[in-house]
Order: sequence, then C-alpha cells, then structure tokens
Amino acid sequence: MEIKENGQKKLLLSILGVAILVIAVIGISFAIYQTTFDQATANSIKTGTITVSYTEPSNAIDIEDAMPMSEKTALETLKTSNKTFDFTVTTKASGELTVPYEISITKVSGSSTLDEQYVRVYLEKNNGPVTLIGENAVQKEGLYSNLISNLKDSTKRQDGTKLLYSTSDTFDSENSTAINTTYKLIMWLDENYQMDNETQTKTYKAKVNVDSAVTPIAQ
Amino acid sequence: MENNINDDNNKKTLILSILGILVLIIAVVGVSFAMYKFTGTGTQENVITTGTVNMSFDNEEGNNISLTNEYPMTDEYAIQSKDTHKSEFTITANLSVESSVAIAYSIGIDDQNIEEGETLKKEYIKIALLDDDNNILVGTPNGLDSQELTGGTLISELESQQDNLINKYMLAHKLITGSNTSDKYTLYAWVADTYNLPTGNDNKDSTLDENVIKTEEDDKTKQEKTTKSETFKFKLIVKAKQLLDEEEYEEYQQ
Repeated sequence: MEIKENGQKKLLLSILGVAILVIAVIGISFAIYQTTFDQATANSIKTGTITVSYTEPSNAIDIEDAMPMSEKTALETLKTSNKTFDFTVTTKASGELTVPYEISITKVSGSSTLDEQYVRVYLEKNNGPVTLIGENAVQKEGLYSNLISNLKDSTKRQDGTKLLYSTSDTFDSENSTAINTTYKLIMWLDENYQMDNETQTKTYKAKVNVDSAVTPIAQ
Repeated sequence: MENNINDDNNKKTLILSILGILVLIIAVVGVSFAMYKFTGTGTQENVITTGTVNMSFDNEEGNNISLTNEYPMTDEYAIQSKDTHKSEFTITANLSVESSVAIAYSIGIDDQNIEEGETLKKEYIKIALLDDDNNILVGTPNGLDSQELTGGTLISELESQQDNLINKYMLAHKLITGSNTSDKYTLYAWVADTYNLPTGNDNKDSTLDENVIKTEEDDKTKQEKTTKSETFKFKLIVKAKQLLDEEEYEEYQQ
C-alpha cells in the first residue's frame, strides 16, 4: 500500500516537473521582449454644477374691485399700494456656461372668468421695464391675449401657458457667483374694458412659472 | 610433481601481475611523455551579444486630460474647442538591430483604471485619437480616408475592440521595424451630449418638477434644483511585444 502511494507521488512530481519545464520553455520562447506601460496620471473629466431657483411671495396679486386703468395710472397706483407680484430667479453654474430661463404665466382654469383680452401685464427686471414676448408695434403692449403661448424650451407646458420673458445668465471659469434677478409683475384691468351692465364679479387668476432647460454646449 | 605444478602457477600469476603493472606504467608515462604534442588555442572569439530594445511611453506630467466644470457638449463644439481638452503623448522605440527585429505595440484603455461616476459612465464619455499625421485612429472622420474629425467615439463602443495585446478598448496598434521610432499621438475626451446632469437630491414631491426642493421662509416660497458633480477617470495603457517569426509578423500586419 505504502509502496503504491510512493509510486503515485513520484508520478505526480514527474508530471509537475515536466509541466514546469514546458512552461519555462514556452515562456522563454514567447516573451523575449514584452512590456506594458501605464499612463502615470489618469485622464479626468469632472462635470460642473448648475442651480436654478425661483422664489415667489406667499401672497399673490389680489386686487379686489378692480377698475379699468391706463398703464400710467396702474403702475403708479399698484406699485404704491404694493399690489405687485415680486419674485426672484437665482442661477448659478460652475465653469463656463450660459443658463437660459423663461418666465411664463398660466391662467388658473375654472376660476378665471374675465376675458384675457382685458388683462394687462407689466414686468420689471431689476427695477427696469422689460419688453414682453409677443409684443409688437401694432399690438397693444402688455395685453395678456397678445402673449404667445408656445414656450421655446419648456414645451412640456401645454396648458395655455403664455411666455412673458426669456433671458439667460452667463458664467465663466473665473466667476461662478450666483446671479439674483428680481422681477416685479403687475396685472390690471385694461382701460378699454366696458363695465356696462355687469351684475357679476369677474376674476382672472394666473400663476407665474420659471423654466430653465440647459442644453448641451453647441457653440 | 604436484609441487612443480604449483610453482608454475605462481610464476604465471607473478608474470601477469608484472605485465599488468608495466602496461599501466606505460599508459601513464606514455601520455605524459608523448613524443609529439600540439595544442591549438583559438584566437578569434565567437561572441553572441544580445540586442537591446528600449521603449518608452512619454506622457509628461500635466499633459494628461484634467477637466473640471465640464458640461455635455455636441461633437461639433468639442472638436471646435478640442485644444482645451486634449492630451499629447509619445511612444518611442530604440532597437539596436534594425530589420531583423519587429516590435508590435498597442494603445488601449486599461479596464482596471476606469473610474466611473455614479451616472457619468463610459457610455457618456467620447474620445478621439489622432496620430502625428492627423490620421484619425479613433473618432469619426468626415468620409472615407478623410483627416477631418467630425465626431468622437463613446468609450463603451470600444469595449469589443481588441488585438493580440489588448483584449478590450484597443485604440490603435502599430509595427516598429526601424531602429529609432518616435510616434506622437493626441487624445481628446469630452462629455457626450446625451448625458443628463444628475440632481443631488431625491426629493420627489408630486406637485413639483422632479427633484425640485421646496422651502418656505419669511412668507416666501423657494423652489430649487441643483445638479450634482460627477467625475470620470481613465488611464491609457501601451503594451509592446517582440514578434518572433514571419507568421506572427504577417498576422500583425493584417
């Protein structure tokens, strides 16, 4: 029995020896010169970050017993009485990037009974008036019904939302400080509105939206 | 009579012993004192000196791609601004014996040295590789045999590219037969325009847009969405091997 085991051990050792020899010979034959270089420092790509925020007051515009007004009167009266909707858009990006955004307005369906052709809209950006999208020389400025409804970037808003203003903030590699932009929205009843035979109060309700869609850099 | 026989045997044994000793002495002395002796020692050395193969992968420190605050971009823009996201490297080979030795080398991306972000993966990183003659080795040329680069190749699309030296992400390979060779390459990399920047939070308020955080403070409501920064890293690898016979050489030439 012991003799048999010894024989098997010798056989295994012999096979192992031959295998090592074969590997050594083949190894020498096929690796005369073979080398590998690794790049010392890895190539690294780190993406930047984008932040967009929209801050709105808890209390929206609420004008009771509204009367038709001219633009001049409306701006003076409503600003003085703080019946404006002041909101802030903040953007921030690291690195070189342009962050576009759109400000739009959406009628609250169901509870708005006033025809939008009598609703006037006025928007200020950092205390200066802005030209609303959709205005032109023929159409009356700031008339809600003249605003365009097809938003450029935020096409997901299909509920009659109208675009007020479109702009962008640009950041470069040396300046990534957040940009705060304040806006003031004023709405009033157009001076052409006829109050004749009105037996029932009419209202118009709308919400302001801010949408930003940053697309891949293309130019 | 019996005594005579024993005497004869003793004599024979004695004679044979003496004879044996004589033969031994003659043999030894004969070698030592040959009558003519010649010893020829070679004056010319037969020498085998191994050749030398010296290769290097030169990617100077600081010349690798190191980009921060990157955003997804179109191929067109990436190529237009390619000098801002490139890495140059040189592969040199010095062979002491020209023509009889061929070295094959391959450039690839080391799978072990790909570090992906949580979402910024090799499916969203595009690269292009050009040689010193502006031949496009990786990337999209503007037509067959064109040297005008019009697009990059996603690293993930290179996963199946292989040769005898590199079994994944093989970018280029070359045969060296000359004694001194220096090959310069330029690598470009950028974030593909299919990548969507991830947000840093998972707040999902059904009344808000996805991942928008809503806070209320001082009679104001703030909605905010911030993207999260991610990093993708990769290293190049160069593998070289001496080709031993014509069959292997032809295999590499194909």
